[in-house]
Order: sequence, then C-alpha cells, then structure tokens
Amino acid sequence: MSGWGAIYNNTLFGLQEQTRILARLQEQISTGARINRASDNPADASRILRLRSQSYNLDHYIDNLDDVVLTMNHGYNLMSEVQDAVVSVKTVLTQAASGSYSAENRVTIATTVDSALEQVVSLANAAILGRHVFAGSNSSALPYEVTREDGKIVSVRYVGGDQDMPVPVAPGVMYSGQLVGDDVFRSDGREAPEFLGSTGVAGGTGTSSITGDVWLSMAHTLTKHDDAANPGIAPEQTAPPAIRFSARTR
Amino acid sequence: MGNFDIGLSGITVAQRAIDLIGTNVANAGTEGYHRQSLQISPREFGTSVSLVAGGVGVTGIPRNIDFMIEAEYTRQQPQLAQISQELGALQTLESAMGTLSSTGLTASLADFFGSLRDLAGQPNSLPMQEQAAWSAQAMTSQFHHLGQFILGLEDHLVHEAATTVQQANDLIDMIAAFNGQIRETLRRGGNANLLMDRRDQAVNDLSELIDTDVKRMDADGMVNVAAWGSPLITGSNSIGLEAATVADGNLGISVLGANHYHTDWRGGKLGGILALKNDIVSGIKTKLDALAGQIASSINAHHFQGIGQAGSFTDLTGVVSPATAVNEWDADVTAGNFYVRITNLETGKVVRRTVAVASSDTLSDIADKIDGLTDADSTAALTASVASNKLHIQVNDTAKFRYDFLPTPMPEFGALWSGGNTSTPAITGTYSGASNQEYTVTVVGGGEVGIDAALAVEVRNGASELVTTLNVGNGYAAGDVLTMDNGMSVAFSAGALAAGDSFTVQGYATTDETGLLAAAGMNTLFSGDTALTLAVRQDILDDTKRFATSLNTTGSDNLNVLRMQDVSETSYAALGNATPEDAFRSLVTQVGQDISMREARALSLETVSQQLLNQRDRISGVDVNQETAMLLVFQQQFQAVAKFMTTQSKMMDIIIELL
Repeated sequence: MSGWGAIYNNTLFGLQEQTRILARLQEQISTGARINRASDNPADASRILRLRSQSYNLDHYIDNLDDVVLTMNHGYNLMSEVQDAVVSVKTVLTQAASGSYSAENRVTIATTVDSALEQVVSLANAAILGRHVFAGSNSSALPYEVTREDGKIVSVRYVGGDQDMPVPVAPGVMYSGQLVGDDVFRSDGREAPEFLGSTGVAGGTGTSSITGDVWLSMAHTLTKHDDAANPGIAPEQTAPPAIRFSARTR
Repeated sequence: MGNFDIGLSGITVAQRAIDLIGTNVANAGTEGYHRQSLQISPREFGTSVSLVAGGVGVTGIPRNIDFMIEAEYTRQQPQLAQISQELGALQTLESAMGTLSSTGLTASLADFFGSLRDLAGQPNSLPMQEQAAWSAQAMTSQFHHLGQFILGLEDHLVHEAATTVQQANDLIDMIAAFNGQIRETLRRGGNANLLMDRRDQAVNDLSELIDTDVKRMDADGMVNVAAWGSPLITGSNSIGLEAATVADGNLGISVLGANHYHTDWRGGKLGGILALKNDIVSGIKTKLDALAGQIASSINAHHFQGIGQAGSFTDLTGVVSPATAVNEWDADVTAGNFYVRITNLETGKVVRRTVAVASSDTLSDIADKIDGLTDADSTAALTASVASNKLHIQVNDTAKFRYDFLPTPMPEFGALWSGGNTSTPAITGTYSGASNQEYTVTVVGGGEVGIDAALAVEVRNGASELVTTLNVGNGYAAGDVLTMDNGMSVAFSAGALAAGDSFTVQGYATTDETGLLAAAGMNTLFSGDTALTLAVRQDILDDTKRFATSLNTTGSDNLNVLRMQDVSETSYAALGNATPEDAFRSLVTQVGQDISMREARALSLETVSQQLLNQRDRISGVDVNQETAMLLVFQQQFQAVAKFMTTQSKMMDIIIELL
C-alpha cells in the first residue's frame, strides 16, 4: 500500500497546479487583458505588438494629416481672395479702357489697382502655424520680396523655396501642404503663339498682304519703365525683338 | 540449554523487529528513505529423533527498493532541473523587456520614429525638434536599461555557476565518503541500509545539479557516478568540477585539474546555467546589440550630411575612435572619398573639396588631409586635429567660413568651359538617386540664351547615356528652371553659350563613400553601437536646432528627416531582413515562445517525476498503519515468548528443588 509520502506528494502537486492556474486567472481579471506577456500566447502576442505599433504610427500620421489639411484649407482661402482681387482689378481696368474717364478718375482707378496689388502681396505672404503657405520648403521666411519707392510697390520678386515640403501622412505616402509660390502665381508655360483665323487668301497668281496688331506681354525682373537709370525694357533695340508669325493657308 | 535459546531468540527477534518498526516510523517523512523489512526464519537448535526444536532468527533486513524506478527517477532530474533553471531566467528577462505593457522598448522605438514623422511635418518648430531629441534619448535609455539588465544577468549566471559547482563538489565528496563507509560496513558484515539511503539521496541531489550517469556496483554496494562521460566518483575516490570563463567569453566546466573547459555540456542546473550564458542570453544580447548598432548607423548615415536650423558648422568634435588604421575599425569603413563643402560668407562663394581615404589611414592621417582645406579662392579655411582620440574640425575664422557635408549639387567648371560663356548655369534641387553619379551638361548649337533657335543643352548621366535635351534658346526665358534628372534642375541666366562647351554636376546620394565621417562621429545623432553604449550626442541635446532635418543650404526643408524616418520602413540584412521594429518584435516573440515551450516541457517532466515518486512510495514508502499493526504483533510475541521463558524457568526451579 502506498505510504503517506505519496498522499503528501499528490496533494501538494495538485494544490500547486491549481494555485498556478488560479493566479493566472486572477492576473487576467485584474489587468483586464487575456495576454499579459508574450509567453502567455506567443502567436497572439506577436499580432498584438504589431497592431499596437501600427496604432502608434497612425496617431503620428493623423497629426501630420491634420496639419496638411489645415495648411491647404488656408491656402485655398488665400487663393480665393487673390482671385477676387484680380477679378476686381480686371473689372476696373475694363472700365478704364472704355475711354470715358477723366484724369482724376484714372488716378482713382490707379489707386484701386495699387491697393489690390498690396492685398495680393500680403495674401501671398500669409502664414499659418508660423509657416508661410506659398514659400515652398523655405517656410520660415517671407516668400515674396517687395521693393518700394515713396511707399508704393515698384517690384515684387519670389524669393521662397523652389521645392515643396512633402510630409508623411500615411505609410509610404507623402503630401505637401506648403506650395511653391512660383508654381501658383507665375505662368511659365510657354508655347509658340498660334494665330488662327481666315486670311481671306485663295489660290491664284495675285499678291496679298495682311497686317495685324498683336499685344506682346513681356515679363522682366525690372518692371520700372520710367527710370532712365534703370530701364526695364530697353527703349531702343539695335535688333528688333524676334517676334515671328506663321501664316497658314487653308 | 536449548530451551532458553529458543526463548532468547524469540525475544531478540521481537526486540529487533520493534527497533526496526521504530526506525521505519521515525523516518516515514524522510526524503529518500526506503522502508526496511525484517526477514525472519526458523533456526534449529537441537534435534531429537522426532522433534525439531528451534527458534527464530533474523536472516536479513532488506531495503524495499525498486532499482529500475530509482534509476528512471534519477534520470529525469537533470532534464527537469535544466529546464527550470532556463525558465526562471527567461521569465525575469521577459519582465525586463516590458513586452506588452505601454512602456518598454517597443513603445520607445515607435515613439522615436513617430516623432521623426512629426518633425518632418514641421522641421523648424522648436517643440518638434525637442520632442525628436528627447524621444531619441528615451529610446537609448531603454536600450541601456535592457543592456544593463542582460549584463547583470550574465554576471549573476557566472556567480551562480561557481556556487553550483561548489555544491556539486560537496555532494561528490559526500557520496564518495558514503561509498567508502558502505564498503567497510558490508565487509564487516554489517547493515548499510541507512548509509545507502543517505548516499542515494545525495546522488539524486547531485543529479539535479549535473547530468549524472549512475552505475550500481552490486558486488560491494557502491555506486559509480560519471557526468558527461567523465567519471567523477569511482568507489570512494572522487574528483570535482570547476567552472571558469574561457577565451571567447563563454562559461565552461572542466573536471578539476584537467583544465579542459567544455562550454557545451548540458543537463542539470549547471547545464542550464551554461545554456543560458552561452546560448540563450548571449543570443538575445547579440540581437539587441545588432538592433542598436543598425539604428545608430542607419540614422547617422543620413544625419551627418544634413544641417539643422542652426545652419552649417564652425566647430565639430567627433566621438572616441580607435587609433588604428580605418580598415581595422569595428565600423565598416572603406577606402574612397568624402566631400566637404566650404562657404565663404564674405565672398559668398561655395566650393566642394574632396578628401581621399585609404584603408591604411589612421584618424590623424585623415585630420591632416582635412587640415588646411581651402575655400573657393584658395584661402585656408579649415583646421583639423585629433584630441583625446576624437576628430576635431573647426574653421579658421568664424566670421568668414562655414563648412558642412551637404549634397547640394553645384556646377563644376573645368577646362571644357570657356571663359567667353557669359551665361551662368545654376543648379537647384536635391539629388534623389540611389548612388553617386556625375552628370555632364554639354551645349549644342551655341548662341544667346532665350534667343537663338538652335541653342540647347544635352544632359548625360554617369554612364554617358543621354538623359534629356533641354531647350535654352528661343522659347526659353533666362532664369527659368528646367528639370534635369533625379530631382535636380538647371537654370541659365541671360548670355551666350559656346557650342561644345560642357560642365559637370555631381549628384550625391551620400557625400561620404567611405563611412568614415559617421564612424568618427562628425555631425551624428547617435554615438555608440551596442545596447549599452548607444546614446544621443550631447551637443544635439544641448541645441536641438542642430538636429539635421534639412539637405538644403537654407536649413528649412525636411528632406533629411524624411530619409531618417524611412529607416523604420527599411529592411536590413543585419536584422535578418526585417525592419527595426519588426526585429525587436520577433525578439520578444522568440523569448515568449521559448518560455511557453519550456513551461509545457517542465510541466510534463514534473508530472512524470510525480508518477515515479508515487510508484516508488508504493514500494519503498512507510505505511504507518502497517507498521503499527506489526508493532502489535511483535509486542504480543514478546509477551508470549517472555511467558514461555518464565514457564521454562519455573520448570527448572522445580527440577532443582527435587534434587
């Protein structure tokens, strides 16, 4: 017959096993988590760690996303206001071109245009969260530099960054809230001008000549036209500027 | 007379039986005690023709022992002890890693890379810079904490090995002494049961400590014990063990005096300690150090070539570096070139100087090469020296010069650019290619920029392939920016360009082909390459505007910090082709799996041991009820035999009275 030793051993072993299970269950209850350490369930623990890490990352991405959205909204509002200012200038100039205005009226119109210019420049130099929206990556400095004479603007130059600032908003996705001012406000798409229309010329042996008037806008870094010391466009050219026309017969 | 002998024998046997019952009951709870039984049989004293008279005698006091169960139980001990030892240490390690809680290295790693992403959103914001620097520091202190813990664990294991070896040696000596005593006792014809029980218990204790191979010599009752193939106890001779750390840092066990240390012995608590120190814990330490080193070197490889909001440098000091040639450094430094950009603030001219590194150069040789580097007008601008094994580069005049390692592309004019070219090209952008390349820009057609129809430039890359042809003649406005390749753009000012002239533009993926600058600690974020030594450079903590977020000369963009945060998405061969966070995650999961597996194994071994113990108790255990019943029997026997002797004595008295 088995001795007391066996009774003792079995009882102790059984108690220890039950205590171990009980302790584990109580740990689960008190922490509220089924898995408290990787050894409880290594496969699940791996997934938990991965999900937690993803969650941390997403928090940061969301912060950046909120930032970018805020900056872009602000940029959109600014551009709307610039558009309004430009439209008002166009309206006023169209009126001035009608020829029915006196000299004082034209001075008033010039003042209107000037204040619209001031407004556009200040909109282009606007900042949100301490960053200038149209300055590209060079966000801490004013993107547009203004030269004044007698308090009036005589030239505006873009001195901001030439690259935007991509911000990580999702894994592998970059988006920029900062815009490059030059890309927004300056047109650099140049194409050879095409003149379309009927010349009225028909096949035959006669001669025909056509004249036309063309307005050519030239952008210069110097936009002052009345200063003899710093002429913008040269008043006299030894060689005429090359402006070519192509005439197509149909 | 025969009659008294009968009685005497009965009384003697009864007395001895009661003594034995007393011994059994007193030792009912003693570990390792085997129940002794009394073997009694009749003895002859005298014969007459028809009557055989005799008493009783003890023929033996055997131990109730089943050698097979004993041997099996002894065999199980080393495995169980090793697993318990390993389990204990691994569980402590798991707690130190702080795996699933919100603190710990997992969270620190995620925070560090997250703060880099935040910094990428606002590179010039002081709170973001500070957050990035502080979260880097939090990460390094977590590494440090873990590294420190592992170091402590290793020290503890070495100490525990010494203590365990001492315990084992004491047991070995004790067993050998018992062997000797048992042999003497048996030779004298005595009963060595109690001695054998004590010796066998000592053997079981020993098999918990080392992987024993026990052989019973039935001839003289002795037990020979060998461990790992080496005999330790032969009869009453014994030899002990000793533990020591061998050359490669591993822990080894040797037979005393043999001086031949084995690091791969397993089994028993000692085997568990060896397995922990040499394999398990050192494996974890290697992986952790690899992770720390990889993060430091990958981040530093980007950080050194950027600048922060503080701008280019006037004075930089590196980290303590070896005094040997660079090809013997732990860090991977190869021969090649690195490029230093020197700006003269007064003239506004920028030049890039090349420094060649040879495999046999030492840090002083490199310092000599940097010393005296000149600016664009050949005025000496830099002074470099080695002080306390650290490289130190400073400008000659802090009002005039600045230097950095920015990869800003600039046009380089050589003999192929004639002085008559009045148009100057300007390169903007940042090179985004994967490896350094030299671009050649050649003028075709010739003429005035913006005016002449045929004027264009051809851009060729490092392999002389034509990348693009850009029209700079009619239709181009001087100063317009045209895309070249890989993030770089070129613009030409108004003027003339001669046909056939060319200049080069270097696209730098990295301005250090050798890895020396990052290894020497020039403008690095981290110093150190193991979990214990990893730290954030103090000068960056002191001035967080030095956090190199930018790759442009203005210091306001975020390109460098974008590259740094990308480290978290890159897989590295040194980490088993995993990203840093994945590598740590798999380390943690590995430890968890090791523990889980060992817990299951330990439970099954314990159950088997338990069943063996139960079986043993069935045979060798003392059943107090049975002993008490036997006590009654022999007590009665004693009384009866005493009565018999009294009766015999009375009969003798009658006979004597008759005479």
